Amino acid sequence: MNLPATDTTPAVLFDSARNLLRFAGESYPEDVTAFYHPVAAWLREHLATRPELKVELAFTYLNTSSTKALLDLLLLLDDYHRSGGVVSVEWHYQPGIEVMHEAGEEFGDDLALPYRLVPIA
Amino acid sequence: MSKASSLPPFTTDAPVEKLFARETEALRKAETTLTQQQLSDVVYEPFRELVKHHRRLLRQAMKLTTLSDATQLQLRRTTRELSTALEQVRQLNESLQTLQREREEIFAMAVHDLKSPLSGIHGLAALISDPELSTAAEHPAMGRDIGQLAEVMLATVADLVDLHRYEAGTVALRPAHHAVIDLGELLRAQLLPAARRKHIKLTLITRPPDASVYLDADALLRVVLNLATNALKFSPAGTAVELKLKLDAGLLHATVTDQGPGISADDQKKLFKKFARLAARPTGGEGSSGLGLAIVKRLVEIQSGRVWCESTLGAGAAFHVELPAAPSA
Repeated sequence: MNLPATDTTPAVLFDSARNLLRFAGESYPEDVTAFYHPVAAWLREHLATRPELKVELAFTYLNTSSTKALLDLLLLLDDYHRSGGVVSVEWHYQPGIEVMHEAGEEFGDDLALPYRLVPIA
Repeated sequence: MSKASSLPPFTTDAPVEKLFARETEALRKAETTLTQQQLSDVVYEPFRELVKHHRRLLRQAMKLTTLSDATQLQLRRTTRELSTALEQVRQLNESLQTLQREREEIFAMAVHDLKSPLSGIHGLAALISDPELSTAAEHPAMGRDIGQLAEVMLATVADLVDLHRYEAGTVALRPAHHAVIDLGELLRAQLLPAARRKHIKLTLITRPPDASVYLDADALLRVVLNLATNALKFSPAGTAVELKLKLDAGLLHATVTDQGPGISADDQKKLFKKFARLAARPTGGEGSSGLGLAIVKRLVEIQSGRVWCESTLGAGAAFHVELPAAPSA
């Protein structure tokens, strides 16, 4: 999994050495499903091998559709956690962008898995 | 602007339906199951209501998502356009400041350049008017000196006025068809007296001999005369100056080559700047406003052309001008 960022989609990179899946950038594609569906499919397949996984979400902008798609991804991870999988999520945000801080809090509210808000200088 | 135009168009309903496909599918299954089961009204009715409201909620969620995406996209576009506009304002402000600084420099230099001949005139006038400081026999020579100093001042003022006019962009070009050979002969006629005075051999080459160009002849002559006058001014007596006009692929290439002292790499960098102080000095006592090459550059730019210099110190100089010389399509 190594998708470079585009004008409207974030970079999605899996670092197998660190078991780290990282999203970074802006997300407001015209067709959200076309972008996030393959990511979710990859994630499902990857989780089937029961790995330890860290996820970093470093979005600088999310539209509503992307928010929904991301919620679906997080629920997938939460199910993995509830089934005994080792997974944690960090929400990286720039303290200057209040709305992204709030979004991070909202995302974390519904999750049982280890979840942390990390301000990035 | 290019950034903003690369944004996707507003979303239609289709992507949002895909986004909520799982929820829609779950609802459809619940509806099917509900109708297939033989349930009592007591159980059936509340579940039917639940499904109905769930369907409404789902539709509303889809609509809200679509509308919200569209609003956010518009906001995104506006933000980008705003930052583009802001950047343009910043650049405009910067170039205005540069222009302002340049104006101040030109003003200071013009004052300086006019002040020194004026002081000379003032001094000479004081000498002439005081019988104790000069004799009548000296007066004709002093009068000639005053005339020369006044000429320098007039030339400087004329150059300043021209430069101001060219930089203000109020010059209207009047292109027309001209035979290259005619332009060359005009140049030769104007340059010949100065060349003869300094015993400089002036050569004119036009290629091809029957070439015709479409451009503003006055602007071209002004540019090439300026360069050729410089060449004569800085060339020692007994050397040669070559003037070449060559038409090639719709471009007129004018070259003025001399056997003067040449121009150092350092001087070449500031050559076309206003009031550039360079090492070379006129060889026949000619005046120099320091604005000639700045005027050349501006005039060439107005004609969408380019001007450059090739020279090695001590080995003469060649000034090149390239101008579009065909009617634009």
